[in-house]
Amino acid sequence: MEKIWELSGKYDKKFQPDVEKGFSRLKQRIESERKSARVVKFPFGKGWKIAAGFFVLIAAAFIIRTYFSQPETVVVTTGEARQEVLLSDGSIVWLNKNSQLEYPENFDGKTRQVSLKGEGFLKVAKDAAHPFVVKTKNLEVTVLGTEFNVRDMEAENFSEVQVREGKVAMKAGAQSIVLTASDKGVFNKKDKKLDLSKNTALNSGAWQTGELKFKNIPLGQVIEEVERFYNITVKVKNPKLALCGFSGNFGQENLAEVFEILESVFDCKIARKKNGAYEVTGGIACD
Amino acid sequence: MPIEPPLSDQDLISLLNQDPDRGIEAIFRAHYVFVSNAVYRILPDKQLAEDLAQDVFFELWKKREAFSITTSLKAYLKKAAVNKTLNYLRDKKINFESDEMLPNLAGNASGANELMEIQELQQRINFLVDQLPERCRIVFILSRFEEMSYQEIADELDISTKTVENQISKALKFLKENLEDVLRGR
Repeated sequence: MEKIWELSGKYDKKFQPDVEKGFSRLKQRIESERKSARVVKFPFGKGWKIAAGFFVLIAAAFIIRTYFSQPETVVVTTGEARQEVLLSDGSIVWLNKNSQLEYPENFDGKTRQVSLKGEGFLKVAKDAAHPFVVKTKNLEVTVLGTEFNVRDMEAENFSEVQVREGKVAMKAGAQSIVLTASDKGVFNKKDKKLDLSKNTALNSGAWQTGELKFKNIPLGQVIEEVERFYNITVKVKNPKLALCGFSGNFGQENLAEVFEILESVFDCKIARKKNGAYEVTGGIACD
Repeated sequence: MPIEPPLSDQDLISLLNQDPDRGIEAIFRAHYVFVSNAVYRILPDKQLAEDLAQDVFFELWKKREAFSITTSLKAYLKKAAVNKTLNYLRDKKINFESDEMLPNLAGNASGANELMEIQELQQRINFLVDQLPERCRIVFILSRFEEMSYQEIADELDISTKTVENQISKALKFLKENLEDVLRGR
């Protein structure tokens, strides 16, 4: 056995990493760290058409500093405009309307932690040694490096996390689930239940990308997403129509065009009622 | 371009303290391959090895102003690399107690052929160690190359010393079986 021990010492598997590439990568990370928090205005995506063509920017960033070098926390609050926030580790957070993000100027410690109110879409820089944690009022979401959406609005009964890429651990109180790409975790604030849905339509980040994507999704769900995206209410009169599967992408279309498409695909009629809500009548039946 | 003599550790560290951009670059160029391989030997994943090596240099850069050491720069970086790797393993919460199967290189036709083709002893050893199942291999490497005692390994990975012992025996047994001919011959 001694001979084996001796022989095993000869093991010398090595590899040659690209030093130039490696150094560029380190340099970028150092630059990011130096720039600290850069606050960038989020431009409206192409799918959005706003009547007067102007937008009101109500965003405030409060920076708390002391004389001694203490960890500095930045708070970014959005009102009518969305905002893109670049974090010191290279992660990017797109904050939706009426939301707030609180984060340290520099991450130090075992985890990278931020607090979120409202809704944000995050693209987290990979750092296996330091998990990224998003804390909201009801949830704690932990990731290593990934793209996902977190929605925890005061006024809604549900908090949810939808993962576009990567892996995420979602915790609500004592319950915890792990989500991977195209999974959605929903926390019911009323009955305190945490549920996992697989292969959900990847549209939680739609407000950020300006695009809605569907792959054989029941029309009922498509309508829900359209409601959310355009901020309207749509009622589907025929329950059998709601079950019909739909595949397609909406990017450049305005609401009228989206309705035209749905009308022709499902042979139904979508009309606007007096109270501003829409109604879908007729249509084919599926089950 | 004139060839500059390599800077001493003390020079490099002073440079890092006073002109961090040039300092970190010099240290990086001098030791990146070494640090990456320090991780790679334990975790044979090139991307991961580089990721953790990047972390080591980034943390060094963060300490730039006050950085000073009593050992050599290489020793410091090696220690940092191994610590990062152990932290990674801990964070990943890998279950070292679970039973992994050793590949049967004698029975499995393709495995046996592969082994036969590797004539050179050095390559054989490299091949065989990499054939060890993931967790067994990690424990073995920590013991054989990182000079960690069973207790140290047990503490770092949060497992019993018995598990450490078992994993190492398993690894040695596997190596013995597949190096039998070499032992007989030499």
